[in-house]
Amino acid sequence: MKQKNRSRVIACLLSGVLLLGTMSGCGSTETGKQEESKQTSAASQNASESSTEESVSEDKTPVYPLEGGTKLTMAMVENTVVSQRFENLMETPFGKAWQEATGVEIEILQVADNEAMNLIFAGGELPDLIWWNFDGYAGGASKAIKDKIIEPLNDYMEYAPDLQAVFDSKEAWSKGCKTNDGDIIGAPFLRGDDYLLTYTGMIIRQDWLDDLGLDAPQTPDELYDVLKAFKEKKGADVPFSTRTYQLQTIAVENGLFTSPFGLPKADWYQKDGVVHYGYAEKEYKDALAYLNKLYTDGLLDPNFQTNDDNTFRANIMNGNAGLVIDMVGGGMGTMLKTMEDDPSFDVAGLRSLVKNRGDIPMCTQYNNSVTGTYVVMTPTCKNKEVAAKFLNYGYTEAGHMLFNFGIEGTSYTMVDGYPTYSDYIMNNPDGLTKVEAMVEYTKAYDVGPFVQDRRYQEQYSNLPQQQAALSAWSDTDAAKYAMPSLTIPEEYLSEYSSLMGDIKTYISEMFIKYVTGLESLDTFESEYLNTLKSMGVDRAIEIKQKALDSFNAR
Amino acid sequence: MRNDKKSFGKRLGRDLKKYSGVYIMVLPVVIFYLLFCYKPMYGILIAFKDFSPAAGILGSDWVGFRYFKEFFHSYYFTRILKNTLVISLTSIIVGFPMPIIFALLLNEIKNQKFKRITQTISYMPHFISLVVVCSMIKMFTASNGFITYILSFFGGQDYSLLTRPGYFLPIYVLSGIWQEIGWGSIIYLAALSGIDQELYEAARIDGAGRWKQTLHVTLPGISGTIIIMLLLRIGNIMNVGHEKILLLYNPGIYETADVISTFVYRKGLQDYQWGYSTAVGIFNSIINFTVVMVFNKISKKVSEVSLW
Repeated sequence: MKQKNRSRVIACLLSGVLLLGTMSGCGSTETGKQEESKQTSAASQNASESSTEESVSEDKTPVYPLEGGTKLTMAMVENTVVSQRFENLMETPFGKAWQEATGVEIEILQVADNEAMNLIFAGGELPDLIWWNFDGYAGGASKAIKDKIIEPLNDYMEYAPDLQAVFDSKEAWSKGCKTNDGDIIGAPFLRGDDYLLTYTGMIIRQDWLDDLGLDAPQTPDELYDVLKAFKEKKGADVPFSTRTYQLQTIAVENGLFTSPFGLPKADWYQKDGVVHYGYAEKEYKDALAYLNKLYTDGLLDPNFQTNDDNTFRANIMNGNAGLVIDMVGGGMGTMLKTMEDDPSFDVAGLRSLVKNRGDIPMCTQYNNSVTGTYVVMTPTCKNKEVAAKFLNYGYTEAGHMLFNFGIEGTSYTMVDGYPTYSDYIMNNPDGLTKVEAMVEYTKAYDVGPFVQDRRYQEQYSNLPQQQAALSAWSDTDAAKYAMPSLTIPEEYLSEYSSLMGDIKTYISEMFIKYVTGLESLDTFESEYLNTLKSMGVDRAIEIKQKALDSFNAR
Repeated sequence: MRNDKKSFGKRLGRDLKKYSGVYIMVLPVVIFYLLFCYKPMYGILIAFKDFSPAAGILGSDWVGFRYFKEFFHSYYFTRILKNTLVISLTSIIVGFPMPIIFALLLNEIKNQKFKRITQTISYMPHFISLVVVCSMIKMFTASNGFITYILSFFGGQDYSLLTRPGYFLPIYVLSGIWQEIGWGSIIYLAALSGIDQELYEAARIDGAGRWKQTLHVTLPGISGTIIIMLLLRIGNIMNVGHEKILLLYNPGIYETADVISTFVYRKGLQDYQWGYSTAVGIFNSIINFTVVMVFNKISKKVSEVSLW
C-alpha cells in the first residue's frame, strides 16, 4: 500500500513538472502581453489626464517643450546598431534629449523584426505611434490606413506647421507622402538633398591607373582595355570582382552599365510620364552582351554568383581585383581605413559608363528622397493633437539640428555657421567608429521623423576620395528617369504581385545564363522577350502606368 | 468477456480509477498537443482568406481557392514540384541506406577503442551549424576550391561548381550524407545491440559466413527499426529543407535548385503573402500525409511493422 501511494505521489509530481514545462512555452508571451496592456493603459490614463488640460489652452501652434507631461507609446523595429549598447532609442542621450525638448515622454515598444511588427497589429492593442516602413505590411501604407492601423495626419496638420512647410517646399514630398486617396501617411523620413540619394558605385584602383598611365575609363571599350591591362600588367586574377547583387541590381538594374547602349536602366523608369521596364526592352540585350564579353575574356570574376561582399573587398585590397561596385562608407571607407598604412593603395569612384567620352550618363544608383519610413499615428492614440505636435518637432529648426547633428557642444559645434561634428564622433577616443559614436547623439545615419541634412554625409564620408566619388557617381540624369514612390492601386495589387513573382524569377535566372554564356544571346528576342510577354509583363507595365498616373493626379 | 459488453464510458471510468497515476502523467502531453498542435490548426483558414493581421483571421476577406489556383498556374509550378520531388527522393534513396550501412560496418569493428573514436568523429558534423557547412561548401566548390581542384583531374572544369545546374543535386545530397551519417547511425546501432547473439551462433553452425549472417540475421533483426525510420522519413518528402537550399542556391541554378519552399520564400519576401504561403503549406502537408498513409498500408501488408 505504501509503495502504491509513493508511486502515486511521484507520478503527480512528475506530471506537475511536465505541465510547467509545457506552460513555459506560452509564459513569456503572456507576461509580455500583460506588460503591454499595463503600458498602454498607463499611457492612455496619462494621456486622458493631460488632454483635458490641452483642450483648455486650445493653442494649435506647438511651443516646445509641450506642457502637460503627456506619455505616448511608440512601436519600432529594433535597430541592432543601437541595441548593441542601449536598451532602446529612448535610452540614448539623443532619445533623452528628444523627450526633454518636446516635453513628451515616450515609451518604446521594441520588436525584433518586420514579422514581429505585423504581430503587434494582430494583437489588437495598438500603441499611440508606430515608427516603420509600411512596405513590410501586405498592401502597404494605404492598406494599413484602410485596416485602421494608421490614422492619416490630414486633420491634424494644423498642429504640425513645420511639417506642413516641409511638404509645401517640394511637390515630390507632398505627393509622395500621401496615398492615392490623398491621405497623409505620417511624419516621413526624407532625404533633404539630391546629394544624399547616391552612395554606391564603381570603385577602381586609382594607383594602378596612375602606374599604367591610364585615364579613368568612361566608355565600355575604355573599361575593357583598363581591365585587360589590370589583368596582364598588374597580375589581377579577377580584374572586376563582384557579386550577383552588385552586378545585377546595381550595375544593370540601376544603370551603371546601360547608358552606352541607349538604356537608362533595366529597372522601372519613366520617360515623360510613360512607364518603361528596362528588363523587357531590346537595348537590354547589348548590356548583357557587354557583360558576357567581360566574363568570357576572363575579366569578370567567374565566382560572382557565390561571392559575398567581403570576398570582393578583400580582392581589391590584396591586388586580385582592380574594380568593384560598393558603397562609399561601408565599402570605400573601410578599404581606405584598412589599407591606410600602405602608401601606394588608392581608390577612386568611377562614373556610370557612357557611349562617347564626355557624355553624361543617364542613370546611377539613385534612391528616392521619400524613403517610405514614417512615424504614424494610430486611430487609438488617445491624444492626437499632442502626438501631431510631437511629430512636428523633427522638422523645426531645433529638431532638425538635434536629429542630424545631436547636442550642441557635445556632438557638434557651429564653426562659421557649419555644424561640425565633434571629435567624439569623428575621432572617437575609445575607438568607436563614426556610426557607433553617432548612435548616441543623432539619427542622421539611419531614419526618423526628420529631413536628412547633406552636411551629415559631407562629414561622414569626409575623405577626399569619398567626396570625389560621391560627385562622380551623381553626375548623371538619374533624376529625369526616376520613378516616384508609387502605390499600386489596391484592385490591381494581387494581380501585379503574382505577375512580378514569376517575372522576377525568370529575369534573375536569364541574367546569369546570358552573362555566363550558358544561354546564347541569339535567343534574346525569340525566347527571352517572348517568354516575358507570355508571363504578362505588358500587363504589369500597364498596372504600373496606372499607378504613376494616379500619383501625378494627386 | 463481460468487460466488452460494458460501455466505453464505464470502462474508461474504471481505467481512470485503477491507473490514475498513469493518466495523470500523460495529461500534460495531451494538453500540449491540444494547445500547440490542434488548436493552431484553425489557422488553415488563412489559406482561403486575404489575411490582414489587423482584421484577424475571422475578419479578413474570403477568397476561396484563389491562392491554390495561383500556385498551380504559376509558370514555374511543374519545375519546382519536380525539383522538390527529385531532391527529396534522391536524398531518401541515396541517403537513407547510408547510416544503416555505416552502423553495420561499425558493428564489425573488433577494437572497441577504435570503434568509439570513429563513432565520435562521425557525430561531429551533425553539430556544425548549417550556415557554417554551407560556407564551407561554397568555398570548396568555388573555382579555386579544393573539391573543384580534385574534380578537375577527371574532367577539366575550372568554374564554381554551384554555377552549373547539374552539380547542385550531388552537392546537396552528398553534403547531407556527410553531415548526418554518424548521428543517424546511432539508432541503428542501438537496434543492432538488441539482436540475440544466439541467432548468430545458430547461423554460424549452419555454415553461414559473415555476409550471409548479415543478410539473414542482422538485417531482419533491425528491419522493424528500418521500416519505422523509413516511414517517418517519407512523411517529410515534401519538406525539402529550404534553409540549406537558400544558402547554397543562386538564380543561375534555379532550374534544379528552386524548390517549393524557396519559391514561396521569395514570393513571401516581396509582399508578405500570408494566404499564399499557407495555401502552399497545406498542399505540402496533404501530399506528405497521403504518401505516409499509402506507405503505411503497404508496410502493413508486406511486414508486421507499421506506424499505426
